Amino acid sequence: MMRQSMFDDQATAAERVTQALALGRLPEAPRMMPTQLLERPQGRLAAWIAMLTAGFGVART
Amino acid sequence: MARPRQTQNSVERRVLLVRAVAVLLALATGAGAAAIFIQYAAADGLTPMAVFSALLLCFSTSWLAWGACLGLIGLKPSRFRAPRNEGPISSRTVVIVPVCNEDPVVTFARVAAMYRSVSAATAVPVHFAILSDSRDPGIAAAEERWFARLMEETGGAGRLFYRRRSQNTGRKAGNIEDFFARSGGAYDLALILDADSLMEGETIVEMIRRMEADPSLGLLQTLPVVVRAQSIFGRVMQFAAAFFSPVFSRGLARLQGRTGPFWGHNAMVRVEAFAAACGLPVLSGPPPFGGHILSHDYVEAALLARAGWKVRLDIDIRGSYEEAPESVVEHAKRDRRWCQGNLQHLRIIGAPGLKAWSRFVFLQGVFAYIAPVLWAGFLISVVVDHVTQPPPNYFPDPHQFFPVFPSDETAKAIGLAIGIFGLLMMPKLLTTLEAMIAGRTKGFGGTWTALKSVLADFLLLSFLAPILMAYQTRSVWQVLMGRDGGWPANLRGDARLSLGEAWAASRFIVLAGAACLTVGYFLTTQILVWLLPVAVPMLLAPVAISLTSRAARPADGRARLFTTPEELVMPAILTLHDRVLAGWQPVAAPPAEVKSFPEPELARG
Repeated sequence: MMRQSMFDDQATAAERVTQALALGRLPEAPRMMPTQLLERPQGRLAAWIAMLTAGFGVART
Repeated sequence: MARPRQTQNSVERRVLLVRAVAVLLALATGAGAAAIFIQYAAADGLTPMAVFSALLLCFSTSWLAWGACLGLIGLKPSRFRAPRNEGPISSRTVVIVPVCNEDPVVTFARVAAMYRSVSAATAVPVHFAILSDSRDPGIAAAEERWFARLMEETGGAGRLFYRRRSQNTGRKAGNIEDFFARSGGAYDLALILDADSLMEGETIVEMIRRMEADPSLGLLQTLPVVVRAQSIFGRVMQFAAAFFSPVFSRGLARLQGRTGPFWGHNAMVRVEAFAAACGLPVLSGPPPFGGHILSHDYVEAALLARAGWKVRLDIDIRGSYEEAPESVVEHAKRDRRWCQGNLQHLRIIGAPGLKAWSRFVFLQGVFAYIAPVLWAGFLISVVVDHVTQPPPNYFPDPHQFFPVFPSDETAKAIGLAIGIFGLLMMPKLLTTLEAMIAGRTKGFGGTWTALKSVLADFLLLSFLAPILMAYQTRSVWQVLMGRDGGWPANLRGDARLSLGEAWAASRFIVLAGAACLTVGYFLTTQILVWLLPVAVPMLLAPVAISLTSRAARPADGRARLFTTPEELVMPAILTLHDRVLAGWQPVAAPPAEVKSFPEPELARG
C-alpha cells in the first residue's frame, strides 16, 4: 500500500528508484578530515633500547 | 569559576586513585599467585621451567584480577547525573548507518523505524545517512530499490540519504571518514551506528541534549543492550551482557575519567572534534600489523582524548540496542578481526602525546587476546615441567639413615586453584547479589529464574571456555605469523550449524584436545585427570558448537532460562522495526541467502 508518495504516479518503478537516489544525495560540505601522523618515529625506540643496553653494560662493569 | 575547577580536580584525583588501586591490586594478586606457585613447585626442586610457568601464571592471574576489580568497582550504584541542555535543540545532527553486504530489507527497516521514532520525539530534523560499502552487485542493486521504498514510506526527502562508495578504502573507518570529508561540514553532531544497531528516538534526543550541555564532550558512548538472540549460544551471551555488563561497565566508567571508550557504534561524536582529531594514518608495512587500522574505534577515542576532548561512557542512557553473534563460529570470526585489530595497536601504543590511560587501554586490548595464550602456555609448561622433572631424591646425603621426603605442598596448589576460581566467580556472584538486592532480577524472569540462568551461564560458558581459548590462541598465532584475516561480512540472523559444518570449523580443536590427552596419558597419568576439564570440551567441540547454534525454546509467555528484560517487555523501537519489516517482507527471506531479496512493492511500474 502506498503512503505519502512523493513520486509522480506515472513514473515507472525504475524511474522512482532513480528519483529517490537523486533526492538522497548527501549535502556536499567542506572537507573536514586532516590526516594525522600517529606513529612515533621509528628510530626513537631503537635509540631507547640502545641507551638502556649501554646503561646496563656500564652498570655491570 | 573556582568551584567547578576545584570539583573537576577532585574528580580527576579520585579517578587516578581508583585506577592506581585497581592496577596495584591486580598486579599484587598476580604476584601472590606466582609466589604460591613457586613455593609449591620448589618442594620438588625449583626448575627454570617452573619459574617460567610462575611468570605466565603471574600475568594471567593479574588479568583475571583486573576483570574482578572492574566488577568490584562497578558494584556501587552511580550517583552521576550527566548535564543536559533543557532548552531548545540547536545542533544539526546526522545518524550514520554504515552497511557492507548486509540484508538491505532488515537494515533499511531499522532506519525507517528510527526515523519515525526520532521524528515523534523531536520536531528538530535529524538526518540519516546510509553509507554503503557493499561490493556484491546484487546487494548494491537491492539497496537502491529498498532505499526508494524507504523514501516512499517515510517521505524523508532531504532527511534520508544513501550513497555507495565505488572503492571501500579503509573499510568502515574509511567509509565514515569519506562521509566526514564530503558532508561533515553540514552537521554538528553525528550518531555512529552499526548496521544492526537500533536506537529509540528519545535516546537520540537525550544524547543530543547531553552533547549540547557540555561543549568539551567530544564523544558520548552508550552501553548497547544485546537483543533478538535466537540461538542457545546467542541467548547465553545476551543474558550475560544484560545481567553482568552494567556492573562491569560502571566499573570501567569509574576508571575512565575524561578518557572513556569508543566501541565503534551506538555513540555520538562532535563532528568538529572527530574531524580535526581522528584522521587515521595507513600504517607502514603489510597487514596484519601494517595497512589500515582495523580496530579504529579505540584509536579514535585515544586521539580525541589526546586533542583535549572528553570521551565519556554514560551507562544510564537507555534505549540503545545491538545484535550479537548467534554461534561460537560467528563469535570466533568476529573475535579474529578484533584480535588482529587489537594486536595492531602495538604499533600505536607509543604514539606521541597520547594520554597514559589511552596507552593502558591499548595494552588491555592486547592482553585480552594474549591472556588465553598465556593460560594455554601455563598449562603446557606445567605438563612439560612435570614430565621432565627427575624423580625425588630421598637420600641426598649418602650417609644418612632416614629418607628425606619433600614437603607436601598439595594444600597450596589446591588453595591456588580455589583462589583463581574465586577471582572468576566472585564478581559474578556479587553482581548476582547486587541484582537481587536492587530488584534487577525481576527483569530476568524473577529471582529463581535469574539464579538458574546465572548457574547455567556459568556451566555452559565454562564448558565452552577451552574452545574459545583454542580459537583465540589460533587467532593470535595467525596474526603473529603475518596472516591477514581481512574483514569478513557478519552473518546475522539464523546461524544454525550442522555437525559437519561445526566439525569443519573446529577439527583443529578436536585434534589439539586429542593430542593433549594422548601426551598426558603416555607421559604422566597423574596429571591426566587435571587435563580433562580442558581436553573433554575440546574433543566435543563440534557437538557443542552445533548444539549451541540451535534455536532456543521459543518464548511461550512463561519465564524461561536466560530471559532478559527486553524479552519480557519488548522495547518500542523493536516493535516498530518488526511492524515496518512485516509490511515490507511478508515472506521472510532467509538471511543466509542474501542475494535473493524480495522485491520492494513500488506502486504501479
